Amino acid sequence: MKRHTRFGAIAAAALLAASACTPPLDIKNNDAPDVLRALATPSDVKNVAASSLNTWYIYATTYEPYLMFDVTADRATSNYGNFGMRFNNEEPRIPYGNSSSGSDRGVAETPWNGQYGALGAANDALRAFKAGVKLSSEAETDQYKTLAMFSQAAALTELGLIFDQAFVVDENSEGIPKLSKYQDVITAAMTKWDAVIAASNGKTYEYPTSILPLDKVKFNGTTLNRIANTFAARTLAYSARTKAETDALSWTRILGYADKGISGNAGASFDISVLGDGYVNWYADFPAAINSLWGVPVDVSIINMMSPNVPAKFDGTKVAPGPVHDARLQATSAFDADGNYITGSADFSYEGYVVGQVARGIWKQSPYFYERYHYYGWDTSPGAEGAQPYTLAAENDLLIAEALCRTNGDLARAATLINKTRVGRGHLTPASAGDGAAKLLTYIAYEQDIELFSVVNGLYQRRRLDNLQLGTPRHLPVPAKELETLGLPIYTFGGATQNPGGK
Amino acid sequence: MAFTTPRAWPWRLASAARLFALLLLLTGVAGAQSITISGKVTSEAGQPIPGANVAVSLQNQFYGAVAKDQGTFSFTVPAAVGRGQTTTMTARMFGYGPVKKTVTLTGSSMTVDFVMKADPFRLTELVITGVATETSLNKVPFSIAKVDAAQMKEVPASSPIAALAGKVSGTRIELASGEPGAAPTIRLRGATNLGVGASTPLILIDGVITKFSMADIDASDVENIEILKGAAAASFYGSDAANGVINITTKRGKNGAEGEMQIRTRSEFGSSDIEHYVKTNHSHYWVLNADGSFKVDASGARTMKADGIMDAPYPTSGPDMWRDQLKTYLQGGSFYSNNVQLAMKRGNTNFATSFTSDHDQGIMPMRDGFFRQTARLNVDQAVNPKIDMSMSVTYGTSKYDLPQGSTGAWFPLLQAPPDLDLKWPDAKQTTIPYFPKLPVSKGGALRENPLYNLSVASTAYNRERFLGSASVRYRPFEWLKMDASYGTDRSNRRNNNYTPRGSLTATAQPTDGSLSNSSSNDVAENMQVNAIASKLWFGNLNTTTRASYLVEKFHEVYAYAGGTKLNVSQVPDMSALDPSLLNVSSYNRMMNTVNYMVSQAFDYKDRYVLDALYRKDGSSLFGPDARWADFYRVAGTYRLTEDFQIPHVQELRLRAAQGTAGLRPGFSDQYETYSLSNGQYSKNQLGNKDLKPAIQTEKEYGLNMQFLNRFDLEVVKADRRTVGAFLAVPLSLAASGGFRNQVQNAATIGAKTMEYSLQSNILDRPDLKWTVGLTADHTTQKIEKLGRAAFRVNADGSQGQDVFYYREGEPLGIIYGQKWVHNPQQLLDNPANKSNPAFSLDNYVVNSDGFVVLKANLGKMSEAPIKYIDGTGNDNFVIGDVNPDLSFGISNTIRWKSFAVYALFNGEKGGDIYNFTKQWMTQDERTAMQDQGSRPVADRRPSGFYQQLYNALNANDVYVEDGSYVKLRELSVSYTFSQRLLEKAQVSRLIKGAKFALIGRNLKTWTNYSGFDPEVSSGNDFNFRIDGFKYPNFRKITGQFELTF
Repeated sequence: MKRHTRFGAIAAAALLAASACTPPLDIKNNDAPDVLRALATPSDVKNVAASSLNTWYIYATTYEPYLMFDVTADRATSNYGNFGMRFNNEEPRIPYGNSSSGSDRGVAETPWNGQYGALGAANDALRAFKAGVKLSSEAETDQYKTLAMFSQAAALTELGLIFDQAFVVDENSEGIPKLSKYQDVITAAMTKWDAVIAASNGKTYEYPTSILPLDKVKFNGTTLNRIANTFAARTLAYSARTKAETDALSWTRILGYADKGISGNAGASFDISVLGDGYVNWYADFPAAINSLWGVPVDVSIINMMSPNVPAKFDGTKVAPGPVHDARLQATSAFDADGNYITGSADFSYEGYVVGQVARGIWKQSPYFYERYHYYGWDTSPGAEGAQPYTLAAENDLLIAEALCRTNGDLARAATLINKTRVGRGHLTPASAGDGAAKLLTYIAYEQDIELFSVVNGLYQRRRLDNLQLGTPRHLPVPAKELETLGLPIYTFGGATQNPGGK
Repeated sequence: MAFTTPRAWPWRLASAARLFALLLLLTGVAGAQSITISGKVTSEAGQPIPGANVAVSLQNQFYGAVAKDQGTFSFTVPAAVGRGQTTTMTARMFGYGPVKKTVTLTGSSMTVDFVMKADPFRLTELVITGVATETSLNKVPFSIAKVDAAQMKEVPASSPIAALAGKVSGTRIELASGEPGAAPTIRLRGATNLGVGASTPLILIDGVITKFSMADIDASDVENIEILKGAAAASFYGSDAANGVINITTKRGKNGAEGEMQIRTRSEFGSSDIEHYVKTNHSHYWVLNADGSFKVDASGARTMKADGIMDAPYPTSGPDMWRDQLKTYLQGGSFYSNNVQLAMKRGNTNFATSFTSDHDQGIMPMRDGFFRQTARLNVDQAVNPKIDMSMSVTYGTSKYDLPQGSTGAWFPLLQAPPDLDLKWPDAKQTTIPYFPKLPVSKGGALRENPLYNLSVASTAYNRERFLGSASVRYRPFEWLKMDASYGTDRSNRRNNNYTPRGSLTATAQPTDGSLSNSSSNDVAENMQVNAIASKLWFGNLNTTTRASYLVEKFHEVYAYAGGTKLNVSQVPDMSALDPSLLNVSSYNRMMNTVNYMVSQAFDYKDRYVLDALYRKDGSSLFGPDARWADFYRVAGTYRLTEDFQIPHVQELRLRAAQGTAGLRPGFSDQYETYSLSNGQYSKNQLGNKDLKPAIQTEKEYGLNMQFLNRFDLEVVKADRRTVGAFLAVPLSLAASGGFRNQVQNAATIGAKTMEYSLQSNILDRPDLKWTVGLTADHTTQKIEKLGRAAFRVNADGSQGQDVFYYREGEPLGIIYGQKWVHNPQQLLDNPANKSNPAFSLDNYVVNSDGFVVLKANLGKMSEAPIKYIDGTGNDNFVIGDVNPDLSFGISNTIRWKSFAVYALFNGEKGGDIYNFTKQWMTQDERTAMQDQGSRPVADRRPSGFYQQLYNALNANDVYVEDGSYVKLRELSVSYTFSQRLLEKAQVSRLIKGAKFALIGRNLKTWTNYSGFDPEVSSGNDFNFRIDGFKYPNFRKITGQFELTF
């Protein structure tokens, strides 16, 4: 009996010890919050709103699809397979490979995923504000609500500019939305820009530098309002897929926005220039690639515009520039006899070497590189550091000038705006009202290509003027992966037979 | 060699262990009144069997001894306990069947002799894994393989898992990376999931559920390894066991002679090199001067020949001569391994301890490779007749100086231009060795000097590992055993990467340097309580009932900080980093599991065995609405030859089992997450509250037969289905509000395996023994259900192109890509050609490489192969299958007098490899395929043709190669010094045994594969047999000296 008692005591102790060791099975994920936690407190909502802007910026300046866009629009060139640059640089053009398993799938998937990520976060924040979340003051609530609205408008803009159709979703959306044509996506984006402009009008609040670290100017109610106006102007202008659509745009409306933008009548001009932090939070991959002396050289057709002795099509013969018409092209070789690089002082430079294999298409090579913001490029350390314009005040100037030309406006003002860079940086002969609207429009197109070379508008600018090779896709299809998820047929654009109005 | 202070700790540990053991010994002194039992253990031939273990059980306590050199043994039992008792004495010895004798203890001394019968196939050996209690191999109703120290000792392996290669059927083990210190990839039978790198089985070491690299564990410490290959056997281990279970038992002091300290030392020294180099291009397409030198223009640039054919020779001397950069720089690395083992048994206590220090330099230039020190202490102590306890501790440290898994150094080295001296590549840069920017004429715009980063950047990867377990066993009644155990596996890892400020980029631009530090501190714990009741009913029905309760905890803590700008030169400290360019991240994950199990086994007349179990697992890794999962097993075996005599067949056993086991999801899989990076939020995955374990159900049928007294055959058929395998299912982002995917129990994977194993004792004479072991298996696997659209899989991040494609209804492990047209008729399938009235086959021709090309382009730089497009416009096809038709291993041991030769071959027949390395090298024109110099002039193709094969790294059939191979994996030729020789040398008092061996690892590979080694896989997974600039396996030749004291 005693033996059994002792055994019972030991067994009970063992069971007690075992149950005491029983660990909890409900464990919180402390590394990544869920939506409830991400939006649990007003300050969290504020952070989500701020993060949505960062997500928009990262994806609005990354490699995909913008490197492919620049290459297929013949501004830059490359024979590397990375980022869709090689196969969308074939001549004659071939269709974009819209496949969830294709090597170029990232061209469509990256902006789709990225911008819906930004949009989803912005909508979450706006939904929280709508549900009554209040920050420290009404003014602050208003300030961050406007910021989320800005991300919402900016993300919808990218979707409307890049894809032929997309989903329009906002904080009021319920259920599974339907795909909308790009015109409707742009309309939705413009509605949001109008809302941002209205919400920020006359506001004096200031955002911390961590939210959007701008160079030279502060990110506050006023600058946000002016940036939103510029974005609204370029959204509308670049939404056109063809020359006919460009002609049909409301240029009066564009002028109205641009005049209140980062240049124009609203105050001193400024560039939307973001301070890179070396690939921590604020970095822009596209300009880092474009400003490198390596994988994405300048298409010689661009050089030919500044130095006609350089053939517009590269045939393997490395032709140094001269005579040079535009000061933005370095007149002398940037490459000494020893093969060592000499830092140039101009935007475009002749490096004397080509990269990649000639067998992939000789036109995919070029000995010319862009180095206006070389300090930001791939081949610097750490890279993506310093001021990098998302766009320049010059872009807003050119939109004003174009709108003036297209609305029988003040051509003298238009010429002055064009000359800011045409003469100021390119040292070209001044444009004047006497050149007439048509001529001024060609100067504007030239400045768009040369002055705004590293701005993410290569395809947008050239498609709206029908300045693309036959068969170049004018926008991207919905990514195949998304179509597969939705059970919709897969389609694509590009190829010799698909280019209404192509040149 | 003087040990520095940090290395002295193992000796201090050993001293402490001795003191501890001594203290324990003092508690175990036998009582004064005793009965002495002595005797002799011999074989049937009358030979003494030293080492045999003789024991008797009295009042639930074991008393016993180990036979000495002449087979004699002697031990005492307390008279108060034993006198007058009738009990069973048992003699056991590895390689012999156990012998039992019933004795009645009388007087103060008695003699009992044993004659043991050889059991070369160890059928009567006991196993402990997956069964309720210790069970003879020949009564286990499912597959369990056992590998003993004897099978691993001839060629010491880098880790216990590596030691299994080629020795167990149905077990695939490869060193996917030859990197020193890397753990091998292992898979038991087929795939269980569609994740990358998730085939690793559950591994236990002395009861500790391990979570970290097996490369930290010294294989010399291993006593035996038991392997359960699938759910039918592994259901015992529940929701973490669908990949099978490997149970490692380390050496303890229990097998030594009473009171004698056993000391064994082993030293091994040697060197490493590459056995099979990748062949490269010896020709080029530049215009040459009459004297054979390169013709250059004013800027120093070379001119391409008009035909673009790479058939011109490099100069035979001077700076532009051809060099074999691989042979020049892949060093013959050094290797050493020193091991000391001590063991002792005395009274109620035994202990075993060991210390190992080894170094494997590898073959990467400018790197010291992998250094490791491990120490182990195992102690067993009987407290009283009913209670005993055990403790095991392993501590190890290691360091390595290359980023683990990095392909960075191999990529440029394989593509390095052959016509320059990499040490001084640029004549104008005479102060910076390995100057990064290569001269423009020699690829300067394309690649950097592969050796520059190795020369300036540094990596320090340090690991610290602790494994500890303690258990106590209590036997309150004859029929009941209870035990409780605790095990912990702890791993601390630190990683430091430093590039000095001022080091140069590939284009020779000075950088600000970079520095990063990361640390991982992970702790796994498991606690278990078991009660096992065994009883013999009616004299012939033995029942065993077991109830278990197990708790597992796993805690991972990681922190990273780094920056890309050092404000101060030559100070590799975090405080020198520019604070505006910092990157920080961390995670802190806790995973808990609680498991209950009951099992019941019936053994009727030693010939009918039935086993059943039920287990319930609750895990924090399962979704909150699916916290608990159930597992079961039913298994039976029938020993036919116990009922029927079959001529020449000693044993014939049939068995069948069906069971379930699971796989747990990853930590974050159930959660809805916003990703956080440097304080920024972004939407990531949608949560899944219903996430449950993937459940594998396996049916297994086996036949075991011993015949002709020298053969042991096992044939197993295993058919498994894993339902609810995890997949990240993509979501419509707009519909999900920005979430990209959700982890779901979406897929079903089927796998069928046939396994064959034949062990044979071909010769067994006193002076000549020859044993041969053959293992072979064949596995087919299929994605029965995918639960999402077909998708490409990237086997791992860098240099692991996604040539694999998952599609419902197709085999797992197939390579998808484009095919080139080799027959003009294939062009007629293409709808575009069909609808083109101008299309004519007359415009095409087959070139000398067998590809169809446009006739007009033949011989021109524009000559291009043509992709096959079928009638539906599809250009993506199955172009390869990584699954071999047969995997096999052949081991041979021949002993003649004092000499022994051991050789292990293993290999695979069939199974494709995607040679991604070669595809990359095509871009830089470094492959032997592009070398036209040795071809007949009429067959030479322009370089442009091969650039099309490169195909922007998209998968195509040119780079699919047959991966069949046979490898002489292990070879050992040894000589054991006889006792007479030791006596002659007058060292026999000090040295009991001495052995010298020459050892080769990866000595020779027979294959048609063109890469370094066909033993390649990626992502730690056999489904991804892709060669992507991994550290290749290398050959190692060493000498080893072993002494026993």
